[in-house]
Amino acid sequence: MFLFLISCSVEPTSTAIVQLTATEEITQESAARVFVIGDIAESPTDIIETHLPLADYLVSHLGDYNIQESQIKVAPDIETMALWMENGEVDLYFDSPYPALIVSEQSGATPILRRWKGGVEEYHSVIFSLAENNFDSLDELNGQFIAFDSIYSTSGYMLPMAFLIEAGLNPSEMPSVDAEVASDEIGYIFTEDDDTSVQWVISGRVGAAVVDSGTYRDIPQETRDQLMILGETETLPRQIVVIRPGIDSNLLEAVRSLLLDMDQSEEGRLVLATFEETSRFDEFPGGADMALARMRELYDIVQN
Amino acid sequence: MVSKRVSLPTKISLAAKFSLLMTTLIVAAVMMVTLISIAREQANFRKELEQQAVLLLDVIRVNTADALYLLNVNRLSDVTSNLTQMEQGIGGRVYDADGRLLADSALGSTAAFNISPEMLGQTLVNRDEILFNWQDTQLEAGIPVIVGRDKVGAISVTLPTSILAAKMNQVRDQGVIFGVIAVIVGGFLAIAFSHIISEPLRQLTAASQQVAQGDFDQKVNIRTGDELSDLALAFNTMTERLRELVQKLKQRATDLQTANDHVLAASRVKSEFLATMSHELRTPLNAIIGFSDMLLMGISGPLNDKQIHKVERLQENGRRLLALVNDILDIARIEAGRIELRNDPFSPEILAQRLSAQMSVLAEKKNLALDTQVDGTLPPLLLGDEKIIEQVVVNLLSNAIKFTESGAVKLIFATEANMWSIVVNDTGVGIPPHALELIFEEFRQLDGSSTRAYQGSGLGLAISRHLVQIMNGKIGVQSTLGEGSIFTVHLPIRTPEQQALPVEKV
Repeated sequence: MFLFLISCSVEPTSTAIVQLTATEEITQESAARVFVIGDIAESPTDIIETHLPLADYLVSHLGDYNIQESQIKVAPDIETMALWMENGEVDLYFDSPYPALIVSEQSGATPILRRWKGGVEEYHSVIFSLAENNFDSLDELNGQFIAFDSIYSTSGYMLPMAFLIEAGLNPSEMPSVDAEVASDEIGYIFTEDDDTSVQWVISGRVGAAVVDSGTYRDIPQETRDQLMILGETETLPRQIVVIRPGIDSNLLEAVRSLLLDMDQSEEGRLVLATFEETSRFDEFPGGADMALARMRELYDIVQN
Repeated sequence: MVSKRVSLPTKISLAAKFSLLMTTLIVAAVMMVTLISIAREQANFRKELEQQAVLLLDVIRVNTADALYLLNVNRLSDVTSNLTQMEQGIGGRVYDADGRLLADSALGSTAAFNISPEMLGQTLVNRDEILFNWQDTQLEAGIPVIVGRDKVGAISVTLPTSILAAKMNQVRDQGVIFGVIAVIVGGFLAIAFSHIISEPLRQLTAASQQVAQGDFDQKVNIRTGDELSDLALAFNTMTERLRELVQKLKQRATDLQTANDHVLAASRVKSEFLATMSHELRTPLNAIIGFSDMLLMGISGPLNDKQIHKVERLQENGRRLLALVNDILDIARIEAGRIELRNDPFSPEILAQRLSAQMSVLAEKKNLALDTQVDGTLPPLLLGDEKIIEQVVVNLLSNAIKFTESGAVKLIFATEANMWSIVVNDTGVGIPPHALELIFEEFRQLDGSSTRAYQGSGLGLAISRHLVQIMNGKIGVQSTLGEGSIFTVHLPIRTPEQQALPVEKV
């Protein structure tokens, strides 16, 4: 396991230093503060390229807070990200609700805003099967396999998992598709990829699968015509902006304002476009507490 | 508007034929070599491309086995997309275990999520070995992907054959260039070589034509040291022999001309003799016969019986001598070729009647019946020499009456095929078999001897045969001793209206 560390200064131009190290503690205090944006990925180079413009944009507007340098840190897993946020090694982190909540729970970090990633502010999960399987309802999935994305996926695990549990069903993780599924349970297995989940249904490897609404929409119409939707979950924000615990309140507010106002300027929109085609950041509808409350409820259902 | 017909030359020189043949052979050889080269290049390229396909499939299989096992379509799409970056025109596809398309380098991320299997996918999954499918512009190859003991899917690659096409075009172009050069060089060589053969032949032809026109002094000088030299030598020898032969022939012709002149001179002498002797011989004989008639008429006073008998004997001998002289003169004239046939129309009916009237006196003297018969199929008029024919028939009838003591003599005119016949049939003594041919010889009598058993010169039948032959006819005899003879003359039918038919040769 390795991690990439990119450090960038605001003036005069950004310099990048690449280190190959084991997990290490980095002191928070330095002569000039560094603002760190973090993410979890297996291909850090793509993350760094997409996040760096945003980091530079924020740093360029946070000079009043003695922030003159930006960094991008890519963690290999959620646990590392949680640790970094707890330690203050990462100031800002973006992710879908489920992993974001996990990190928040483990680190004390705070979800502050909603991110419209790819122009999508919210999404839900779609549970589907091949029409020829003739499943009329979710109950008929008992004894069948259902494909999930990954264990930290909001749309590919948390939402459908909570959905099935609240529907009174008994989803049970299986080691492989060759395992025996009891007639009173629904065996689920992680494919680690939404498109793979779709293909597993088509190829008959599993009886059903769940993917996010955007992925389902991207399935060719002629294929979708031969699928059957068994259920759709409630919607959740597409992505959440999480800020580290203990951050200065003024700095926090400054960051919030900056993010909220980015889509109001040409400069900001250009940066947003490079940041995985983010259209904007906004407040949680109905307030953060209410939104987060439901998210935490779903989280608890799944965790328990 | 006058149209002009253009006719193709009917004669093509040997040199042209040889040159054309050589050029054709060269073109054919070059074409064959070019085709063989193309086929060989094609075979080599196909082999290379198949090997490349095998390697590529192996690489793809290694890179896709895990993703295919997991049906990770995104990863499969990444692998197939990388193929297009290797070389232009290369493509790849991945199928699941049922033959459904999962990834296609040509379609990118939109290749997956196919409900229905594809035929190629199903074919590949069901195979145990690599499949090669040669198409117009590409080679498609595929194999199943096996993990453990299970077929988890299949992969295929397509490799462009544009390189092959370029190579084939290059070989073809080289072949064309080589062919043109070969044709030009070969054409010159063919013309040169054909000249080596055709020039001696032309000399021989020219010399032969001169020889044909009578110039036997032609000599051909060819020293090529091959069959043409032998031919020239044979030609020269032949013309030398011809020259000698012609000279001999000329000499012989001169000799023959001299001999012919002598013969003509002799014939002229003979004719003059005949004319002279004919008059000299006949005149006194006619006088003897005439004076004897006068004596019998009593010009010198009445004669007693004894005197009458002697004068009648004198007259009879005179007539006999005159007849002999006439026969001899006839033979002489015939041998001298002085008989000139007339070709006038005459009536066979009238001729028969005249002959019957003429000879009936002789027949009555011997109490013989003389029957005459003319066949109705005979034309009313015939062309010929009536006098000569009459002379022949009189001779035959005279003989028949002479050699018949009792019974009858018949004269029959009839037609037989293209001829008409004159038949004299008697019931006389007959002719012995050995004498049937001899009687037609000169001075031969009935018994074949030259002695005079019956009155007559022995020249009558010989004269008759000559006369019949002169008329392009034939004469023959059938006879039985003691029963009689049948003399038959065949003459060609010639009428005033038509040509005479060919005479049958005996």
